[in-house]
Amino acid sequence: MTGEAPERDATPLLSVEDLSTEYAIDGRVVRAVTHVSFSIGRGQVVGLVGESGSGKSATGLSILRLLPREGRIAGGRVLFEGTDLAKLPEADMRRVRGGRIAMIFQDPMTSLNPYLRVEEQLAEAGVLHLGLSHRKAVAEAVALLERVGVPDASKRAHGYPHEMSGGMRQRAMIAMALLGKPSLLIADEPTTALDVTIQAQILDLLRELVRERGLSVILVTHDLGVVAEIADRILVMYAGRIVETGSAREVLTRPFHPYTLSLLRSVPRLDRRASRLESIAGMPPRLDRGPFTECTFAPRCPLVREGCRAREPDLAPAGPDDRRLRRCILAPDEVAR
Amino acid sequence: MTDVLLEVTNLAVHFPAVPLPVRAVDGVSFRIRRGETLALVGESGCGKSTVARAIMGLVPPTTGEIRFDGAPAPPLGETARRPLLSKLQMIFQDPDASLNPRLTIQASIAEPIEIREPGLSRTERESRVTGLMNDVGLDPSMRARYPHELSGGQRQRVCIARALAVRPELLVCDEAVSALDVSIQAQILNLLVDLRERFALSFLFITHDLRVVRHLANRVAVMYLGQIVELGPTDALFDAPRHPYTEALLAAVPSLDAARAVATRARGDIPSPSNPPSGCRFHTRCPKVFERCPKESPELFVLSDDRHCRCFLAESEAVPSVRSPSA
Repeated sequence: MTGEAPERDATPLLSVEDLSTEYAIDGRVVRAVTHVSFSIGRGQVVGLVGESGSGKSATGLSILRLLPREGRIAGGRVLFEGTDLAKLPEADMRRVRGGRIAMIFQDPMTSLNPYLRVEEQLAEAGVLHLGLSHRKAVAEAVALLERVGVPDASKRAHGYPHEMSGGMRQRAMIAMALLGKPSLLIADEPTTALDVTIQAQILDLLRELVRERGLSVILVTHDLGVVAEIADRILVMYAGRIVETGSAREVLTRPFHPYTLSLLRSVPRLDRRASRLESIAGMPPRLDRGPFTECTFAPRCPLVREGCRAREPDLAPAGPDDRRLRRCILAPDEVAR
Repeated sequence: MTDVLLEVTNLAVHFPAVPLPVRAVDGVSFRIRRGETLALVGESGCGKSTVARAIMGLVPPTTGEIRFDGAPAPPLGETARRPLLSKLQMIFQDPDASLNPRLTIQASIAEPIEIREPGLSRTERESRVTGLMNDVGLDPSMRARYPHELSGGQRQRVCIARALAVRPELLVCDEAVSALDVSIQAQILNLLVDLRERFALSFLFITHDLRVVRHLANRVAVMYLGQIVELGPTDALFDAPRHPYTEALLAAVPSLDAARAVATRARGDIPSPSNPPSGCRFHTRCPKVFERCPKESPELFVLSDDRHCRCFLAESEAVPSVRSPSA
């Protein structure tokens, strides 16, 4: 059940091994992430998709140990450039965050200090992580704002976050993330709060940065379309588990897990009208009720059969030398007809 | 009873602000026929939600007229509005904010019935609630529960049941499925389609999500900075958009077919509706801008009966001597 072989580089940049994350809520233990393994190579974009409560954000937060007070990593390793981040002392972890690994979130307004000029908060990363002088860090911040497409960058840098539009603030967040010269960017729903025309611009920008700087990106999103636009590989999560993974194009055109298939069919299409959308009956299982003795998707699965109730399937290759993994006992042909 | 259920003519809604008023809606006209679903689409600040709120009487129009079933719609608060209240219902994006957390599902759904039909006995009311819960796909045994005990999708179903309780003719949905996960969103969209057929409902469907529009709407009005820039039948408009903004909007929707070419992008940011650009309001972002665009304001050219476009590039096809009336 360990992850796949890295695709481009002999040693992956990040390799998450058997990660489990728990939240203690009202005396109950909610297992938000269960035995998640994957790796990401340099210059790769991995899309982590799923619906609310699937564990996609918790996975991203676990990597940087940014879990809220009630959350903890219950097991597994997070190997980044040879170090297990799960065991790193907090002081060292702080140097990783915003340095080698940066993170951006859905709402740039809550990530920016409204009382500080944009240049002040951007420069902080340069002073802290690169040891630049304040003046140099500000110059670097302005240069990066220009790079990410903020018009009148030096004027904007001197202003406050509320004077910027949502799209500009997200660009500023990306500039701030880049300032520490990260090799990995974790982007949690970075375009979800933005209008589509602005979202398209931000996705273009991320694509350019990947090409230009060899940046690796973990893109956490609920939007399969966004993944199709930008990701090399996809991890589909359900109930805290990876249920399917492989090249984004392959998985999205020919899913091998019934959940991926149902999810794809429930998205209305822009290019044609369907008489009915396929919806998924019921709701995901409660994650404080584990461990599960059956496939977690079985209660909602349109293709469920006897064997699905016997035990939870492993994340296994879809075929003899298949690089694609899925957590389902059905043969690929039985799912993707 | 007329064929046109709702008619909005030259609606403008301006909000006072310093230094300039916000021209949220600036001369919008359209009609909704009986049984029709019109989608009003656009990005933040285009005025789509303000149009909805004006129709519901929640904000007073600065100028313009709103007629329902042939008669002018009086403002909210006037006694003359009362008969309209049950014909027009609204469903909002966030069901949490639309439901009283201290009322059970039963009480929430019964409330509009009590107000509209105070004469009903308790048993009659309860059986109406049961019927409504069945209509929207909620198990009536959940009636004693509170909103926090339901999922987001179930809560939106309660809001729909409340709206249906007064037997409306027009449902105004403002981003009604935008906060839901896709699998749940699909359930609610299917439900709305079913209800539309069963109760011969008309819809004004306001959303930023063009995928949902294609699925649901008969006609689409695309708004940009307070104005309608294009209007037409859904399939025609999606297959062959005429306004560069519609084109850019459609091109920006992430597609599951990764092989798609990167098409026309709208440049830069959405300008402020308090100080919209001169001439064509889209000219600052338009990939097809030319010298005339910043200088003159294009009218909403009538290309055919049901196809309107506010772009000089479509002017040559405009039906002559028709001064863009309401659509």
